[in-house]
Amino acid sequence: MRNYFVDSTSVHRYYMSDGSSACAHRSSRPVMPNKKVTTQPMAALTVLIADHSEIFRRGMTRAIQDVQDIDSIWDGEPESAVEVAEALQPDVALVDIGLPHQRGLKVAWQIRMRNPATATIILSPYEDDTQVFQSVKIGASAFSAKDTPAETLLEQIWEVGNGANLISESIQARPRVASQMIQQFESYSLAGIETEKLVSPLTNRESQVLSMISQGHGNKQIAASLGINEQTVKNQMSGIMAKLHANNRTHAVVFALNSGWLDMPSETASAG
Amino acid sequence: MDGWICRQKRRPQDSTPQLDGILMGDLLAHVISRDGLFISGLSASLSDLESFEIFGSSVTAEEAVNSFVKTTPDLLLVDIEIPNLMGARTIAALSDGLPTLPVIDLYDFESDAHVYACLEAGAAACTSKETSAEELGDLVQQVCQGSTPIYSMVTRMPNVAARLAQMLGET
Repeated sequence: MRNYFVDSTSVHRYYMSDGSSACAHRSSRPVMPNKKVTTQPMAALTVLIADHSEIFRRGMTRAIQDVQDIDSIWDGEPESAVEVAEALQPDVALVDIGLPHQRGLKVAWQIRMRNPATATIILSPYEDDTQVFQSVKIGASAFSAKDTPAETLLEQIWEVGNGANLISESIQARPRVASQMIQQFESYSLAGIETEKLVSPLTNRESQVLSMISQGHGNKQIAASLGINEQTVKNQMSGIMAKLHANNRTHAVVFALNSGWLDMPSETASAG
Repeated sequence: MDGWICRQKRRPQDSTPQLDGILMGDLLAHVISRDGLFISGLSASLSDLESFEIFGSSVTAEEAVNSFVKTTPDLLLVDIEIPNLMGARTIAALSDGLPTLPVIDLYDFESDAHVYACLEAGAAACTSKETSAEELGDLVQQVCQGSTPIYSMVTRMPNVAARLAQMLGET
């Protein structure tokens, strides 16, 4: 997995047509500040940057290039990050929360579900209680505003990459979030709900398929709309029903709607 | 040069470089942002533009104005946004003192209110911080040629256009 890096004195970063980039060689760089000097060679932490802003990604990549013990191995759009994280298994994933709909939370959750060893840091243009609360719910290791100084963010990457859970500090600093957490867990406990079920287990494509089913589309229409064949849609549907323990398509739709994993289909969409 | 509102500085005229067929001198840009990583990314992303340089950054409008005493920029990139439309207010404040300074506002997510506020404040353009480096480079070029891309943006935002029409009707 670490064959991305060979001994080199320069960084070779390749920019793809979709704006993503990957690092092929490791640079010789200064060590992280405030870190204990050890005589044992340590593997650098590997970081994946999933952010909609190519400009922010470049800034983050630049900052990482300036430290020796952290390596950026991929950066690109959050939509591609789940698959990439599964292939590269980074130590840390930086994930843009994706305002206004907070779509990044689902990406971060899926990365965690598929790679339990990967720590996630949720990045947001600004901090508020709701975002911190949602980040806690998906099991993020840290929540950070994007205007956090680079040095601080690099420290956070280092900490969570080495097993720290910094989000607990965010909760301590926000009494309302702590209170929300307690209330939420009390209500789950009373209802006998497992917290693992709070976030949709469906992939983006499965959510798309289920959403179209909720709008009254048949397999053929869905296949044509998504540019896939009908058998693939059937396979997706089987996977959805298995994940949701649903008996049929309607049951799956109702279950997903009740769980908040699907938006209520609009009249226009249903008519179409 | 018709429509060229960015001042040319420092570079002798005979060495003025070409950029996609457009004559450009050394264009100095200033960024107002709290986000150091974004500023670093901007600098890297716009470094492909020949003779374009982000020479300074500041966190507030006041800091920016103080720095302009030494060097007035040719272009201002403003990223001070949510939650209180601070970017637009900053643009308005700066426009009073530097009415010819073209401003590009960079926002985290688009809203009618934000675009209208930028329009009202006198921004030449506003665009998402998620815009690609290439698109931002194009926008910088357009603005430095005297264009105001925010007007064309309004035409695809009916609520903003309606509010503008209402405001014009009242005046």
